[in-house]
Amino acid sequence: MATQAKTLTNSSVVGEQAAQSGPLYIVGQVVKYGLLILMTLILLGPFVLAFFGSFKTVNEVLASPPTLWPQNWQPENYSRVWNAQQASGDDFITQFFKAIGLGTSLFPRWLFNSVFLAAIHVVLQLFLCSLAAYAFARLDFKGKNLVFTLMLATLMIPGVALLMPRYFIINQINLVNTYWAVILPSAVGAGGIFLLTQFFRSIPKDLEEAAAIDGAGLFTTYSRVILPLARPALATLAVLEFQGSWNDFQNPLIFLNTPDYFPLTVGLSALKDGYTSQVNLILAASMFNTIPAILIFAFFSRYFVEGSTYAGVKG
Amino acid sequence: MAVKSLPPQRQGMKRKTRENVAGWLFLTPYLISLIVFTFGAIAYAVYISFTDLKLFGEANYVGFGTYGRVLDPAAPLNKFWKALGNTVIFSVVVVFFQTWLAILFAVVLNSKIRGQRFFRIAWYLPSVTASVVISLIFFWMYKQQGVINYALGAIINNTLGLVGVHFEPVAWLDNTTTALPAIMTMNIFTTIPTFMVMFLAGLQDIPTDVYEAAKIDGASARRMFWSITLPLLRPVIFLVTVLGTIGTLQVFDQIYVMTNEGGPLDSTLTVAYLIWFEAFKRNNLARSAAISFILFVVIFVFFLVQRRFLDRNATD
Repeated sequence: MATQAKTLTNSSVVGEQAAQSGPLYIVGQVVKYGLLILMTLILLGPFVLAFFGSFKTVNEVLASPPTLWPQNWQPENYSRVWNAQQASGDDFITQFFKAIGLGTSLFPRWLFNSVFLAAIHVVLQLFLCSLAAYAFARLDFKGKNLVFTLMLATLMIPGVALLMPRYFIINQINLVNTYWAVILPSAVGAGGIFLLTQFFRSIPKDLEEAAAIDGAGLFTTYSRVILPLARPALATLAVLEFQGSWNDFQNPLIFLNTPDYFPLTVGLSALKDGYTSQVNLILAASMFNTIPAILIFAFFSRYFVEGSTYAGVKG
Repeated sequence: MAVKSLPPQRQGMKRKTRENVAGWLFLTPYLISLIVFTFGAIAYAVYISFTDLKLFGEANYVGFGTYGRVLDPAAPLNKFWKALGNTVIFSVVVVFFQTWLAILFAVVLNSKIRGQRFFRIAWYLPSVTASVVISLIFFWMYKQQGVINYALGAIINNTLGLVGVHFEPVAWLDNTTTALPAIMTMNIFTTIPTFMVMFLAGLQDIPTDVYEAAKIDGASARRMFWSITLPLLRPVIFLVTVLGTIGTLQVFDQIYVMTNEGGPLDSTLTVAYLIWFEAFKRNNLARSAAISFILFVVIFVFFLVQRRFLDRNATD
């Protein structure tokens, strides 16, 4: 039934109204698959080209006509990027990197910063958003609806308009150019609270009532009953927030100004200014951001799709 | 029974006060964040937008003076209107194409096709990649000797070339007429997948018997698309347009990475970039705050217009 309806809606687009055979049908199929393949080329082509480009010599990567397959594989592009710049400071992490034999290269430090910032971000978001979501979904208290409405209203505020005043606030508490500057303002957010609230509301109340009869307090109910049941929603939020932090550019760009603290995204942008003509090295550096993102997506694609549809369409 | 009914009642009373306290306790971390980093930030931005504050200096109250200078088209070196024009063009064009193409591809992907799963996953790739990385890759592909010119040349010269049209490579990002459209095209294609997934979910919520009834009444497939699919997708279309508009009106990363300070000749300068530039390159905090507030108003106006025309629920 479902597929039949889908076929019908589809045929209108391809403009194929003939029976399921005959020349018109074949033309329709050709147009449809042609469109699909063209779109795949447009969407995947850049990544495939960039991947092979990261193994080319600088002459080949800029050659005209362009090549796809590298004529002369240059895996050393990756080691050149890895050792491209040196850390300027000598903080605890740099010392640790030296101690374990990673030297003072800046690139592994950027990679570490990205992982570190994303991990802290995810943990804080999961914990703090779920606390608030539990209150919204399950507790009855004065002013709840007002706060919930206010929270939804904040989703309309353009993030870029808050950049400068947030920088000022972070500056007032002397946290500019520390990891905290990036972590604190986005430790908890309306989007995550909303997603979890919606999910918590869909959990049947029986188990909580049973727990309450057994004398469990509210925090115990939250941590022992609700959180385990909400694992799918928490996983969705974790994946989305990891991706958001891993790919974030604007916040670290304004809050961090020592290269030692840059995450990979800001580091890449700095590398681009340093290596204006060495595109092969920039592409190799980009792969350090792209490949983990692709791997995470490959393993958790279900959660990405759920997350992008959950808050809006189902909500 | 009478004896047993007493404790739950008392517990219920206690529970009420307990929930009142607990509710606010559970909310405390979010409330601190909301008060400091949202309300505090907004209050601070509004306050300094009425001053002439620079990074190193005193804040003097100037009323609407800063707004006046931002909005005065004749003020020397005032790039605000140029930036706003670019941003609005960027947003309107990108949102229009990304929404329609996302619907088109959702409908195609929702039909019986081979390899549906492959296409869904493969197409989503640009959505999981950092905007910085996409910008770096396209920066390279848009070069005069780059692959985009090569592909366009190969296609155009082998088809239209037969009737005398010849394609010359363009330095897309170095040209005032092509730089912004080049970034817009990149943005359209890389955002389609996210929105397509939303439309796919919307399509799956449409009951199939509606189509069956229409088919019995002899409706053509095209008619069904326009009279059934599109109207029933309206809530998703509204959501996608609103999200797309809020996102595109704040476009920043792409401009920062792909252009030289919004160049050439400010042809890719956007409001978001100008907000950053005024605050962090020019140290002109008051101007940055005033432009931020104006951007907020622009986004809100766009939202109201879209709600008026797209959201039936608002009037039902």
